[in-house]
Amino acid sequence: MTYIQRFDPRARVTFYVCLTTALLVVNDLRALAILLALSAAVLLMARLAWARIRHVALGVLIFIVVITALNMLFRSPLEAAQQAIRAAAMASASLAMVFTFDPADLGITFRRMGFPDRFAFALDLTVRFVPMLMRDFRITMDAQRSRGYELEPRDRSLRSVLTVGRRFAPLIVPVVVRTVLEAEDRANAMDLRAFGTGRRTWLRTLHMRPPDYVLVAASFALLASAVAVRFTLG
Amino acid sequence: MRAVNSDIQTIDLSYIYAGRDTSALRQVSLTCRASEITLIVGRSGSGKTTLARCINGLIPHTYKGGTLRGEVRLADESLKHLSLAQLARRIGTVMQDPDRQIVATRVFYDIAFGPENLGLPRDEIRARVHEAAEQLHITHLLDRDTHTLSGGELQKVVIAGALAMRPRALLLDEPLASLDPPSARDALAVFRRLADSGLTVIMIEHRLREALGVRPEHAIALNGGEVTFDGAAAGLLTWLDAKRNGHPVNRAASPPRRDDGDVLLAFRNVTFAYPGARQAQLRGVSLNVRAGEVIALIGPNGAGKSTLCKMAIGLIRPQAGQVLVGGQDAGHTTTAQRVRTVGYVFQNPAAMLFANTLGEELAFGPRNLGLADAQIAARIGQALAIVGLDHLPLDQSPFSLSFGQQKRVTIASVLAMQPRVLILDEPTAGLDDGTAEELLDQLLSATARPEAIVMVTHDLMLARRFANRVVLMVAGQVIADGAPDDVLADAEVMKQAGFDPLAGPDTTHPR
Repeated sequence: MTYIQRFDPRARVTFYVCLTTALLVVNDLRALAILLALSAAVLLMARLAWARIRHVALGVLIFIVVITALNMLFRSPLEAAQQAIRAAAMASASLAMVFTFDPADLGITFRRMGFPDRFAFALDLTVRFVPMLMRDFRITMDAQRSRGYELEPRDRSLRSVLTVGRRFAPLIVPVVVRTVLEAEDRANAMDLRAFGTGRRTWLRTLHMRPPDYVLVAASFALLASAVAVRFTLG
Repeated sequence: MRAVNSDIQTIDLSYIYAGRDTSALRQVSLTCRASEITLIVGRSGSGKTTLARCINGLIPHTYKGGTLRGEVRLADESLKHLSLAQLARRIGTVMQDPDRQIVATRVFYDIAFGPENLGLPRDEIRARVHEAAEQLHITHLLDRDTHTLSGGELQKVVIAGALAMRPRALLLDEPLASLDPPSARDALAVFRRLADSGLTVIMIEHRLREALGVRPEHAIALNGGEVTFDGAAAGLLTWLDAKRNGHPVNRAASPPRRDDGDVLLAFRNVTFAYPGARQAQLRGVSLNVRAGEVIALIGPNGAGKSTLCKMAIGLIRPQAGQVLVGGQDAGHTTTAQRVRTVGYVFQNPAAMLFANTLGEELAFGPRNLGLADAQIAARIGQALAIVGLDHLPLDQSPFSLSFGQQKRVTIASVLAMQPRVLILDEPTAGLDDGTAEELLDQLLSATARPEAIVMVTHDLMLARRFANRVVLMVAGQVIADGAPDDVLADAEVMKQAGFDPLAGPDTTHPR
């Protein structure tokens, strides 16, 4: 377990929200640089293996390069620098958050932050749902390819904008239909295990310890400083 | 043994779904006894699922607006006025697809889900989770992430989740549907043990031959919402056979295999591993598929059967070795080019069907091949005739068809491309035994059928009845390849696959 995983997930969520909000609030390059350094430090503390984050990190890097180039061309070097730092810092903080957060903690974290049971559980289910959706999509893609379907047909006449929607129907429709049917089964399965029938116990418990309170306080202080910087330095 | 009587009884149960005018159940009265397994069989649409929903309370609590008559009783208590939460503590339900019943990312929390919803104290929940896990021998899985489990393991987690509610009865709705033979055998042993420990076990299943392996005490057959058989399980087969003799099934015996047919599809020492996988999916597989062959490709889950089929049409490419399609090295051809020779029907129709009308659905493949409209129409007609759906109007929506018909539509949609080799992935999955046999009978006896057929299947009986060659794969390699009677009866190789050998002549169905 890394150092940052020892914090209560509520404190971590608070820190993440405050940090990203601060990044959106400030424009001053020096302040942005400090926030970037902070985010980079968090990312280093997450001790993520490069192989795990390679794909995402490279994607983010390309995105930053493109955005910076566009800003240089159409806006100003200052704005380009601001956007680049912002994006890099957000990406670092988000990578550290997403890759070290135990998905089993997601529901209980938001429940204890005051959200209702159903909302908290919906988050839990979403975590499970996304990979299943990806899997369904891959299977459908393979199934349609085995019927001779190609996403980019060699026949150019099929590439017009009007046919794009129709080109995607064989991929989209089966996945949507299946998702709707699965949702019914899933809702039934949850009903049959008495979900939503009364006050539920959350087996997992969370405990805020002194370092967690310090982190929460520091997070709000960071956000307050960011607002102050915005109004003094612009 | 529990002292309480936990018999489940339905009395004159009838149900009409909201917006329908025909009854899904008609005055069904039956009794399922404690410490026994009651097997409920019937074809699709016979009312099995509706009966299950009436017993576990989804009707009327979740499916509202229908007309329910009669009642369900657990021992001396009518379940009529109980809430879903109260019902869940009495009757545990396990449905078909374990994947859709898992709610948590970790096994421990998934089993705890029901008791958590009941608002029980934490210590009690933990005790129940451990107790249920021990009952199913899965304590070693408690810390695992649910998405890393196999289908068989997932199902045990789902059953443990139901048991953690400490129900008096367990309702299993097609529990074998997504399991391979070794996992199915495992699951049946679990059901038997649970019944022997005092639970009332109700098992709805259309894989009749396998379900009988659980040694049920009692069997009930439904047809058109009515009970057509109710008695000792031993009598069920006799009754079914007697019925069948009245309407003999035309068995389309596959013509004996010839060694001199054209090689239509060949694998030469192919290997493949998914990136990051610990073990290779295919480890040096060589196989020729010749004209005139009906091959059953069998093996446990993860043996590499589907990987091999995907490689045949170029969805994945071998990392070493060679695939030959129609005698030509297929190394540089795309899937879209190969499908003229090799057709592949995916297991689940839901993965394929997308069009508004049957005509459009069936035209999709031929149109992708660039055929003219007149030609497409002729091929659609031919393909529908082969699967026995030529009576359906072409403007009907494929989504309005039954599961069995949808399955036929997906096969027809590939047949319309007139491939020389047809690969069917689990052609009988989700179909009852009768429907499955009828479908294969029709396909194999059609004169215009593809020259070679490869069926990936878990159904060994089916392999013996319809194939003229059986290829057995285990852990990415072909370990046996030959005549069905030879391979399926070979105790040694079958054991390596975790299968029970099929010995002796086919006696289950009179010819």
